[in-house]
Amino acid sequence: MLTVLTDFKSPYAFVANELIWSLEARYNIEIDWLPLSLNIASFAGSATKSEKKSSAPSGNRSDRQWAVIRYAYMDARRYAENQGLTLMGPRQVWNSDLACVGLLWAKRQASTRGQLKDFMDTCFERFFKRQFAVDSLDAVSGLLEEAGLSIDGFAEFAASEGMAEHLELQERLLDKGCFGVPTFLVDDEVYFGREHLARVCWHLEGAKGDPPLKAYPWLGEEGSWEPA
Amino acid sequence: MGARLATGIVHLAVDPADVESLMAIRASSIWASEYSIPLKIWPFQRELGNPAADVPLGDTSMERLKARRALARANYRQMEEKRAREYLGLPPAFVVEAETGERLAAWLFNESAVRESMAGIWPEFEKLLAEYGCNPTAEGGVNEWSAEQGEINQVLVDRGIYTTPSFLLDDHRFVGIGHLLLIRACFLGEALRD
Repeated sequence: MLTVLTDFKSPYAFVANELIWSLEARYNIEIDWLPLSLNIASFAGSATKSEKKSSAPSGNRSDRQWAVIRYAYMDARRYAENQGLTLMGPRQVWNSDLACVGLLWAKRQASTRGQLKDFMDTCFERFFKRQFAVDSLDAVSGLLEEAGLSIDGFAEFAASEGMAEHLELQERLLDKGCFGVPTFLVDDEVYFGREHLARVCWHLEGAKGDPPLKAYPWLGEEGSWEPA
Repeated sequence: MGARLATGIVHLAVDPADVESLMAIRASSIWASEYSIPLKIWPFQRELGNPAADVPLGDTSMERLKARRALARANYRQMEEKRAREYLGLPPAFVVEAETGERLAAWLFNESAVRESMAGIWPEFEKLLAEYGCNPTAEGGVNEWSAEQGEINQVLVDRGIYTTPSFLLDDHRFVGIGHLLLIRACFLGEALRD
């Protein structure tokens, strides 16, 4: 059993998405995807960037926080380029609770894994092309529909039961020690970050022998893994 | 001094008191040797603490969230360090005390200044770890650095290095041990294949 925590506004979750999905076919499993909505302002400060390229971003980030954020985007972009993905930095700090509730809804509504994957893929791809407002009910509903999922009752779900479930889930995940994405929960172990994928595979293969070193694998020529 | 960060060489910035750095020394030493990649390993004074601490005070719920998240992060880091110690075959309570850290840092600095490459250096470094010893009850950290070490530290900072372990190859920076595949691809000019 593999549980993966994700958030549509995380560049690291974005560049890991396709790789993690490939585990379903590789190990004939169904991943339990759970939303972990990062409260970025709580750990990286807040910032807003206007559309003018020359203007400096405003906000309360320290130099150290900017160094971490800038590195994170540079790093994630390398891996996005490997996969032919477009990764544009957001112009503001977003609240993705609503999109996360969309994921909870998609899990309920999807009759195939493909529908769930389509919804997730599209959320990520559009967000990082600055074409998807993760805090917009209309936008989330639109992507659910695009993935072939019913949106009958979604607005009500998002305003009540769904949001309550999501917020309660955030508390439980924090209690469990989960604070970032992607996070992998497997065999009672917690792994934060895509560099642990080789080790996650090791668990899924029965944890035989020594665990592998952390690595950032990416899809090979034939879609195979290239662990270290 | 900048010439010490020559191009075409993988530079690794480490803090010998940081278990993840020790893991990086071991892994990159083997990796560089296996693939004939020139490697220099420099001691680096990382900025300790969680950048989240720089967030201005918020309301009660925000402060509660910050505290809980910081605790979760700290616990996770401890778990990661435990995994790193297991990988290195170090005892669970292993800590590099300040004096040992300084000696290891000085050794790395001197070796990196004179050797063309430190590929395959792990067995030598591991012997030093054992020789210098560690104090399981002492607090970790490196307190004093020589002026020369301070200079190379600043060169690394100027190149965008802020934590350990970090790798530098020409204009590419990589934080953490997880990028060896990509660093090798960069070294071979095969990076960022689309």
